[in-house]
Amino acid sequence: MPDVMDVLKNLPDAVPTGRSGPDVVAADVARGHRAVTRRRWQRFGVTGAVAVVAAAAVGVGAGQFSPAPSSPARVVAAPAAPRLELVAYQGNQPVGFEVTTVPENWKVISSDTSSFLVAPPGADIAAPKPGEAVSLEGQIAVSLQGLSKFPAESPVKKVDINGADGRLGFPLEEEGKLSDTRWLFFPDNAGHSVQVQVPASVGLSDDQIVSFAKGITVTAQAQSIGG
Amino acid sequence: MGRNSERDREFTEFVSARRDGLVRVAALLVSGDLAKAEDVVQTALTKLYLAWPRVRPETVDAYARRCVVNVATDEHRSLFRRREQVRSQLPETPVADDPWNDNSTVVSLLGTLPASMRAAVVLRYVEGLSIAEAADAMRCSEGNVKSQSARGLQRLRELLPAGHLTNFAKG
Repeated sequence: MPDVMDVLKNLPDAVPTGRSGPDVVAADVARGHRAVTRRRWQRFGVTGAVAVVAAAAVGVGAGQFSPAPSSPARVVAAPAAPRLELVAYQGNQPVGFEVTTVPENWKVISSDTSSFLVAPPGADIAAPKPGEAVSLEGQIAVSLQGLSKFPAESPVKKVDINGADGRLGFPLEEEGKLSDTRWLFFPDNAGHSVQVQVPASVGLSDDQIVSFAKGITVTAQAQSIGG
Repeated sequence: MGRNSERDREFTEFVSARRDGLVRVAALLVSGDLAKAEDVVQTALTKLYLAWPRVRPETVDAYARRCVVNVATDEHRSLFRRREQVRSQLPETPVADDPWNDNSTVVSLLGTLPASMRAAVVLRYVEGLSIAEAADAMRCSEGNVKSQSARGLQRLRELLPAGHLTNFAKG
């Protein structure tokens, strides 16, 4: 008479296999890629600007912003950086987006279906390790907005992005202290919420950030990272 | 970019070779629901991908198994918390007409065991892991695996209809 253990031993042969094949494995890899991207952005956006802490930054005209209610926070004072000129972008377009203008001599150095980076010549483009905090210092990052949102302390300036309402403000550098990195959120025609992140060290004015954002189009390949 | 390519290549090789086995374990841990098992494995493999640079080649199987057990346990807990939905009509359910059906009784009974007890039974007696390996996958002590698997086995003996074992003997 067999025992329960004998029945259990034979269960593996009886369990039908799941989906398999190169497409399934490729989908697993793609999910891994998205998770790495999501974690990278969460580390930066949520845990607080690892890169921003080290930023040598440009002063942002805080007076241009409408003050946040009862805001004790202050924007980090920063030295001026060389002013850049926006020019028509001639290089390869990022995945999931189209970009028409970039700072002169800058180019798209990496992209996926949820984000892309624009960096000056000579920027380090080494791929980060999973989970590793990524420095976006000196680079412009564009993504479909995940969990990022302005802290209550941030003043928010309303701007026009191709007829849509954009909002320009600051993330926190640490509790009670705003970073000098600027975030611009705006919706595109398809309803995507796009986030542009510009560290002060990049040296773009608010108007230039708005002009840069106006040249961004989210394509059908784009996917929100959701995180 | 080279590191990413290397990781992708290694990860692809691993998943190609091990995915079916992981789905099987997951299916047994989530009461035989293959769709849910697929979800569990996808989540577990994503965790594995994130951790890939830190996982040593000799421990990657154990790490993957641990991810599956953890995710399956979390899945069970979330199901437990999920509120019952009242509907006026019963949902359509597929007719079980595959070889899996013969063992569905055992799988159903496995599903009645508490999650940790079920994991201990599946890892020890279905997957054939050692006590140490099962303890690693469950992130608990070896003593816990021994007691949980023994009690789980005893519970199954009590619950399994006698006719099932007779039929099993007949093949």
